[in-house]
Amino acid sequence: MSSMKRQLRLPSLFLPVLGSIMIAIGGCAMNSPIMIVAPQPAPLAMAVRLCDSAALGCVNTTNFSLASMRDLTVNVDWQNVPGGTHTQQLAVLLPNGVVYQTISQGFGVPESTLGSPTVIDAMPVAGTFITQRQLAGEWTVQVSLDGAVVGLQKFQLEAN
Amino acid sequence: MKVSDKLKKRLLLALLLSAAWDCSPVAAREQKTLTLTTAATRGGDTYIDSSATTSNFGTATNLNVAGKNSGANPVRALIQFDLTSLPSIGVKQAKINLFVSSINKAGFIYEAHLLTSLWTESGATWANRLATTAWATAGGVYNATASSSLTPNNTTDVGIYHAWDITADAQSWYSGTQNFGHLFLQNQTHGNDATGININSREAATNNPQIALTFLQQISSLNAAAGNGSVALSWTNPTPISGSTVLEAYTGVLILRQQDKAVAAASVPADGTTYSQCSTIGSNNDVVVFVSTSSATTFTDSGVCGGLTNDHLYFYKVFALDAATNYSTECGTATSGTGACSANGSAIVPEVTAVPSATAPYHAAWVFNTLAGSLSSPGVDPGASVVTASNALMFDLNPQTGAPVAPPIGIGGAVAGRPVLIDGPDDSIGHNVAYVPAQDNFVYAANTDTGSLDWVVSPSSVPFVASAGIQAKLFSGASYILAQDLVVVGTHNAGSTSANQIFGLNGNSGATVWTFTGGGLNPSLDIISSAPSVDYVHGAIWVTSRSNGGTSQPSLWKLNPNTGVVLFSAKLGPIDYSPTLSPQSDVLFVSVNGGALTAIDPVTGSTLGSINPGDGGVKNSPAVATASMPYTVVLTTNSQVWSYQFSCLTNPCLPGGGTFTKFWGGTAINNPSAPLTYSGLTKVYVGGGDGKIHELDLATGVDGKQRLLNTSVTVGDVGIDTVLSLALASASDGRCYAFAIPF
Repeated sequence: MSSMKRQLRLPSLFLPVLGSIMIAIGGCAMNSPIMIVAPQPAPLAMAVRLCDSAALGCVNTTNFSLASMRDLTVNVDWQNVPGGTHTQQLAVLLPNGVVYQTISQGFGVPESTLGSPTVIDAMPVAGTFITQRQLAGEWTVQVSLDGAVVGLQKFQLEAN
Repeated sequence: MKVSDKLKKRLLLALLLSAAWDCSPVAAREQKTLTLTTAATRGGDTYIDSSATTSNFGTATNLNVAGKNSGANPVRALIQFDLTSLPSIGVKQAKINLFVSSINKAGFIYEAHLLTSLWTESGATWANRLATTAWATAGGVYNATASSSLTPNNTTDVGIYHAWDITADAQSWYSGTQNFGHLFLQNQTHGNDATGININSREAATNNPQIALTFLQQISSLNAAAGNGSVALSWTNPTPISGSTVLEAYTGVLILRQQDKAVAAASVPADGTTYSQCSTIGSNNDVVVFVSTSSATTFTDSGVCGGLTNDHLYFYKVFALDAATNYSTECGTATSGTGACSANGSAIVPEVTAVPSATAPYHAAWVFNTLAGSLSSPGVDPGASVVTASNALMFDLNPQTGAPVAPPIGIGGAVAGRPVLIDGPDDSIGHNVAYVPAQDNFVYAANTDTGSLDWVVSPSSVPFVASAGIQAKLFSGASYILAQDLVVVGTHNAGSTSANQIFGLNGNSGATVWTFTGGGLNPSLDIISSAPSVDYVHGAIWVTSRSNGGTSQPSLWKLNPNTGVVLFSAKLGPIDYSPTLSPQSDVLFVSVNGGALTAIDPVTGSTLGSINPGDGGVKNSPAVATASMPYTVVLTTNSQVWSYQFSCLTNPCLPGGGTFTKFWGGTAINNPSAPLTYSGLTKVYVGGGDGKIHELDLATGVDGKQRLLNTSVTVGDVGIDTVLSLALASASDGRCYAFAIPF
C-alpha cells in the first residue's frame, strides 16, 4: 500500500503509463517501489556559426574587421526541435550589453518529429552606424526560441 | 456525505473553475476594456483556413478556430488590438475576451499564441501574411509556447465571452517586442474537432473582440532643473483615462537615482513592497531618493542618500504608485515565471537627467528609452512630432515632453536610418506621415497621427539600410510629372557589389513607379547606405553608394525622378554618406569614405574641387552653414571637426575652379558624428564617441559647451527642432535625448 501511495504522487503526466503498468502487474505483490522510467525527450540543442557574408561558405569565426566586413551572417544549427511552428529570435547586443538589433524568423518542423534545421539570418554591417561610428568591441548574439533564451555567442568587431 | 455538503463542494469547485477561467482583477489602479471594432485604425482580425490557403476572410463576422479530422484541415484566427489610447502604461494584467458563439465539441483546448510576423487583416491567408508575401511557415508564424489556453464546454460555455490571459505578451509590447497580435488555434495533441468554435469578429454586429487591461499610467511632463548641488524635479501625476474602472487611487511616486550612468531597466520596485528612502533596488544599486504617498508633484534632491556631487551626471526615474503599492512597471509581484519582470521591466518608466554644477548646471529637456542602441537618428517635424525608429519599433513622440503619443509601432525588421517625416499640408497623402525602409526588405509608410500603417511594400528581396529620400510634389517644378510624392530607396544587397537597386515608390500607395538595377547594360551599383538627396532646382535625385572597394565603378548617381533613368554617374570611390546640396543647389558636396570632401557641379557632374584635411579622411555628410557662395562647409574626420570656405573663381563655377580655404580646424572630438548646422545658426552640433553633444562656435570652431547624455556611450547624428529650439540625438545606450539650444 505504501508503494501505491508513492506512485499516486507521481506527476499526472505519468498516470497513463502508471495505469497500464498497474494493469500488467495486477495481482502481483508490490513489496518494493516500482521504478518507472519515463521516456526522456531528446534535449533541445543549438550551435551558432558566425561568418562574414563576403566570405566563401560560412566558416565559423568570431573575429571580424570593420574595414572589410559586409554583413554578419548568423547560422543557427538546431537539434531536436519539436514538431510545429517556431520562432527564432536573435538579439545582437552592443559591447555595452544594450540591444542593437533583433532579428526574428519563423520556421517549421514536421509534426511528430524532432527537427534539426539550420536557420540563417544576416545583419548588415557595411555602411551602417557600426562602421560609420566604429562600434568596435565584443558583441554578443543571443539566441531565443519561442521567447525563451537558449544560448549566446560572443564575437569581436575590430576597428579599422 | 450530506447532499448539502456535496452541493457546497460543487459550488466551491465551480468558483475555482470560474476563477481559473476569468482571473479576478489584480490590485492596480485602472482597468480598461478596449473593443476591437471596424472603427479601429490599428489592428484587425481574420481567420486563415488550410483548406482555402489563398482565401482571405478579413471581413467575416465570425472567426473560426478548428482542428483537422477526416479530411478537414485546421482553421486559425488572428487578432490584433488597437492600443493607441493607452500609449504609456505599466501593464499589470491583460486578457483577450472573445465571444464564442458556437462550440462543436467539449474537451478541446483552444490556445492563444503570440504572433511574431507582421500581417494585415486584408492580406492574411493560410499561405500569406500580406497580400503578396507568404508566411515563413504556412498557417502563421508564432511562438510555439501558448500564452494561455481554454477548454470550453459545448453546452454551458456557448454565447458568452471567454478570457485568454496574455499579460506577459502585453507587457512585452510596451518593453521591446512588436505587437503583431495573437493567433488562436486548436491544440491537436489530444485529437481534433474539425468544426471547432466560432468567435464574433470585429465585423459582427455585437459582442466584438475585447482586450481588458489592468494598468498604471506613467507620470508625464517630467522636468529636471539642475542647480548648485541640487536637482529639482517636477512632474504631472496620472489622471484616470476616460471610461476606465478605478481600482485604487494613484497616491504618489517612487523615484530612483543613479550617478554617472542610467537607472537600470531591470531595476523595478516590487508591487506590494514599500521602500524606504535611501534603500536600493536591483543589482545596479539604484537609490530610492523619494517616496510620496500624498500625490506630490515636485521633489528637490539637495543631496539625500549620500549627496549630489557637482559636475556629475544624475539619472532620475519616476514610477507612479497607487494605494495598493503597485508601481508603473511592466510586471507584477512574482520573482520568477509568470508575472515576473523581464530585463526591461522599467525600461519605459519616465526618466530624465541633470548635471548639478556651481558654475554651469544643465539638464535634459527629456529622455526617452527606445529600447535599442541602433543610433538611428530621430526624424523631426519641428514643433509637431519626433519619430524615432530603433531596432524594429517606431516611436511617435511629443516633441515638447518626449512622451509617446501612441504605443510603439511594430516594424517587420530593423530600421537603421532616420525616419523621414512630412507634414500633411505638404505631402500628397494628406496627413502626417513617416517613411521608413527596413531590413526585412520592406518599406513602411506610417500615419504619425494614428500610428497605423498606410502601406507596406516589398519592392525587393534584399534589405534596406539607408533612409528614404522624399520628393514632395508640392515643392517640385513643372519638370516633375508624377501625380504624387516620390519615395526613393536603395538596397543593401551585401551579396552583390554590382546589382543593387534604387526604387521610386508612389508616396500614397507604395507602388513601384520605377526601378534602376545596376549591372548588365547599366553601370554596376554596390550597396547604398545613405539617404538620397532631392535636387528640386535641377529636377534630380542624388544617390551615393559603395563602389566595390575602389574607383572602378560609380558611387555618385544622378537620377531622373520621373523615370529613374541615370542622368549622370561618377567614380569617386566608396561613399556611405548622403550628399549635401548647397542652399542654392549650385554645389553638391560629397564625402568619400576616408577620402576627400568633393564639390560637384550638379548640372554637369564635373568636379569643382576637393579637400582632404587628413586625420584619416572625411567621414559623415558635411553641413553647409551659409546661404550662398562662398559656402562655409563643416565636416568631420576620425577625431576632428573642420570648417572650410568653398568659393569659385567664376560664376558659374568651372571644373577645377573651386577652392576650399580652411576656416578653422581641427577641433578635437572623439569619434564625431555628422556635423549639424545651417544658414542662420551660429553653432555647430556634433555627437561624440564620448557620450556628449558638442556645441561648437561656427565662427571659431571652439568647442565651447557640451551636454553629457550618458557616460561610455556613442552619440548618433544630431537633429534640431527649430520651433522648440531642441537638439535631439540617439545614443548607444538605447535612449533618445533632447536638450535646449543654445547650450
